[in-house]
Amino acid sequence: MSDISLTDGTLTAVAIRPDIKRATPELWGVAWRNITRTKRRTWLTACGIAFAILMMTFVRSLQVGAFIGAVDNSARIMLGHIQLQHPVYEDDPAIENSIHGINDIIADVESRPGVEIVSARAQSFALTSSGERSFGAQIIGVQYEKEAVWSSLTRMQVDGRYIEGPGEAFIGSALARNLGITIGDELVILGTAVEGGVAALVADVVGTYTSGQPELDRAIVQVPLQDFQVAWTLAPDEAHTVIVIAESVADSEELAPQLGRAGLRSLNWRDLQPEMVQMMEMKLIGTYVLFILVAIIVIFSVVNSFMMIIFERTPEFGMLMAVGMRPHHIIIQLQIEALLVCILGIILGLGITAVGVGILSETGIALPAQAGELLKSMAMPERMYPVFSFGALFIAVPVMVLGTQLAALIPGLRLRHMHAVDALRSAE
Amino acid sequence: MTRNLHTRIDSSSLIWVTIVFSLVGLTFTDRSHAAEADITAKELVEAAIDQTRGISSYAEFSMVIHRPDWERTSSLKSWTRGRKDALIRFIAPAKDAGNATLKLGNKMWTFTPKLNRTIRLPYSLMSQSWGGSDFSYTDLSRSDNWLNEYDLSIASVTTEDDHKIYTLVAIPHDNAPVVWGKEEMLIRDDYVMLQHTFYDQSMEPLKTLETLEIGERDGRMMATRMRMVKLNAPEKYTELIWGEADFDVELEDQMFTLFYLKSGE
Amino acid sequence: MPITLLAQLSLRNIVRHRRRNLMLLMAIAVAVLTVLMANTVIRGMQYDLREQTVSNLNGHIKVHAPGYLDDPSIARGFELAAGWEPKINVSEVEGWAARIRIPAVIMSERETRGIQFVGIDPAQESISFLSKAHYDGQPLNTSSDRRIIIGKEMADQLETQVGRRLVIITQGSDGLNREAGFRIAGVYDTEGTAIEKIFVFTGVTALQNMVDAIVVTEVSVRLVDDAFQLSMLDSLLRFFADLEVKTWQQLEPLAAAFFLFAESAIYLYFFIIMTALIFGLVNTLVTSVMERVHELGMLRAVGMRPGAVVMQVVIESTFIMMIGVALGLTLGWLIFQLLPPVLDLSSFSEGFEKFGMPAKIHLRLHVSDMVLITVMSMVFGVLASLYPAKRAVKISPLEALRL
Repeated sequence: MSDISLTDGTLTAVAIRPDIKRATPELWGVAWRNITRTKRRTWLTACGIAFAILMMTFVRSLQVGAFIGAVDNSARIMLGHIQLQHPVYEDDPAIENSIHGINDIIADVESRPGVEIVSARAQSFALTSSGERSFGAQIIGVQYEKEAVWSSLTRMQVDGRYIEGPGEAFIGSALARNLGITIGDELVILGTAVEGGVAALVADVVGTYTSGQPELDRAIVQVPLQDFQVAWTLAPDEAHTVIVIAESVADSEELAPQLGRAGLRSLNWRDLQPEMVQMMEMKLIGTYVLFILVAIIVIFSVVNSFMMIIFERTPEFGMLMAVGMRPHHIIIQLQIEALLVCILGIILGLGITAVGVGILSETGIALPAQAGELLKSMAMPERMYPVFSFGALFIAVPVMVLGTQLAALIPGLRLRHMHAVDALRSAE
Repeated sequence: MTRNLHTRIDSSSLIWVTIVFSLVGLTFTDRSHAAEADITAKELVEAAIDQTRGISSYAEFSMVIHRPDWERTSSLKSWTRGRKDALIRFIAPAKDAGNATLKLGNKMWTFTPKLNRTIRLPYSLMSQSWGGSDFSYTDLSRSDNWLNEYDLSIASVTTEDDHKIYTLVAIPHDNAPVVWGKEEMLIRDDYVMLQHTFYDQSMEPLKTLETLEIGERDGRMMATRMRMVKLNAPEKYTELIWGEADFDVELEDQMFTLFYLKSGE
Repeated sequence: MPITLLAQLSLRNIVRHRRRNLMLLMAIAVAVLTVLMANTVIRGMQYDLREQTVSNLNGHIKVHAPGYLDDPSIARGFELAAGWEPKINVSEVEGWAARIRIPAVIMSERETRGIQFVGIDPAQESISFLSKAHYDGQPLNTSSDRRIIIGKEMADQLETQVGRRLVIITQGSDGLNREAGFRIAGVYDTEGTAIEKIFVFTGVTALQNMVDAIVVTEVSVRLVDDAFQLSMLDSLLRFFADLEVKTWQQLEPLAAAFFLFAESAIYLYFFIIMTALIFGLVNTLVTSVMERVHELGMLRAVGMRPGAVVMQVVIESTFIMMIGVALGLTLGWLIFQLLPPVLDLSSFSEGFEKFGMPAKIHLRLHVSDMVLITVMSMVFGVLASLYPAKRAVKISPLEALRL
């Protein structure tokens, strides 16, 4: 099998002998010829490298897609992508820590590119009561026409319907059960208004929702913003948060810092969903660990592959050395071959990822229906759209390049002490 | 959202007694001075409290809630019957007028004219602020045997302006429904409460109810202006200022009913 | 051709290229080791989750009065006679615990929090996390102990400590408020903070006295083994006929779903790692075949059937795989013995504790998983040899001789 290649290699070596440095382009050419000579092995090795790259970039793209999906989904339940608040409201959610001029703020934000819809909310903790039963709950005054458009809470296993006019309330199903009320019943709300006044409100319960998240189902009451403003003696343009729904999570990241100003704090999704950020970081660590393990196994097979190459080509190397080539030239030659195989693997791996992510980011991946409950509780959407992860690319590519270089060098080092005569003899 | 479900930091104490009952009971012209040095702590407090037993009262007072960036004054009326039952009603400002709290034994209801409804307060909201003040509903809902929950002693007696001032220390019993490590009261020999300080369980003072003015109402000396303030936030406080007060008034039993809570003005 | 001869040929091939095959063996060993280690972590998390869910006052099976789950109040309690424990499937039962569990509000000098107030008989709580928690101060003594124990996280939130008094307000059986002061006997520290923020314990008799009702709201049973759950459920449904009997899976569907999900995670890890390995394996096997073109051609020429050629490659692959797996499993087992039994991740991520997740994983090595890994690896070995075998079969005596 090696007759032809031996001659081929010898001739090339003789040709490049005079000055190896200036002859570098030829060195690349030889390397290419060498790796194409053993197509099967090159492909198998490249496939291993491609798999490691694919593993990292594709899995990360899926993960990032899933997370952005979850963040977006969760934002569209209630939280929004961005919230604008009084600077101290988050730490001290007192009724007085409100923002004024919400209509101007909403008009301003809605006119910006990347914004889908903007709505305001006022909120306060209060006593909700029906008959002899009373429970504490978070009362949220909402712009119901807008919330009906964007908030998925308004469509979560709803009994009855969402708010359509003043005097109505939309409440969590667990709270309704605890209060012993059903749709059509009156809900009495009693809280503390601005400057310690009494905030009182009676509303007809027109609908209940079940989100599956106990804290939402047990302790939230939505009423029209105007009703809230009157009961809590807020001004007509006063509220506690302006909720911004951006066209995408990425848009919201760009928008968030632009919207804050003196007296108006802008919270982005990372501030609003810190547990999601934490979960993302934990998943990232897990993926890195898996990638490193896969990379180690693949690199082992690259070492193996180069051991075979060196074994097979020892007579050839003997020949080259006999005509004056130095061992380190041969090592460089092998390193270039390793680099070419690696580049092939990277192109293959990234190619598959790019095509896969490209297609799937359009069509989306339907998540299995059986996992429904679990996913819902984790705020996962029904379809997932992968997002190409450049972060993964910048990790995976250097690791694989360095790994294969090392993998080729380890068996290659043995060539340093090889003598032409012994090498030629091993051909027999 | 759940992050916002904070509750106020306030807790049970002798305050209810202080606000509504002690103001009536602590001074009586016919027993204007505590007996001489031989009075015990328990006698000192009991002497004050016992006088209120079975006695009804009517008082008008205003409440000033002061915060760094706003201040609000409300006018209220209160009626008491014995040490168990009380009714407090807001008279002004107009937007709060008519709001009322009724206490019968250890049950409490609140009434809001805007809704025309009475609501029984659940235990889970007892620690909430009452009317936006620095008092909680728990402060208003003391049961009548509160005295039995403490070990009382007189720590010191001083003399100032011809008055003896007793420093009374109340240490709650082990199972007492009291969060404080101790409470310290300065009581003048004519039963006027001068100061009431609440200590945490490492005996650091946390908040104090201090008497700013003393006056005469219906022939009795009493604290007429008191201020509740947390020692770490002196810029936030609630003041109670008494106007007219009548003792031993005839009150109809129907005053202390849910029906009256709803219909009374 | 006898199989022993084929095996001999395969073995000779492996020994002939020691160095190369050593490399391959190491790759397999590392892969198997990785799968095994990932397995111990996943199994650990899976069983920790179940243990946590079961010991988090659920037990394997729990009995409530109907309606309690929607309205957890003392009004939904039920009476238990003395010696109420059913004498059924006794050998399957690790313990019973009867408790009162009602919502309440707890107050310190500075803070107020909503809690689950639980009355227990400390002697029965060997079946819950309480028996394993660390205590600052001391645990409760008897069912009439009227001190309380609270979680570490709760103690921090309330800015209180052992020996201090807290006030608890709840609703009595007559619907009226009850409030009382309770001394803190001990502060318990358990894995994860979610529990510590919710549960406050006192003696069950003390709590019955507070609410004026000689009832309990739940009976929890812990089994010796999860496998007894179905038969026990059946028995309990008959014994507590007018009460609600539920398994931990019904009470905590999310935990149950994660428990099942972990099974697929184990397979997923295996396939990812083994796929990474298969390229190297095929590569080596193909090389091995190509080096023996002469030999194989010769053997074909003297009448070796294609089946035997395939067999030879398959045996070679399985053989390498077997040694690699044995090496990997042994190494894994040794490392497992050297590792601490509990993996503490809290230094990696503060997030675990912050969101109430336990940061410790009790690593688990199941013999059944080692068998599973072995079997699946062998299947992989055979699959990996198919392509090289196909290539080997294609070698004709003529081709071999021409070279």
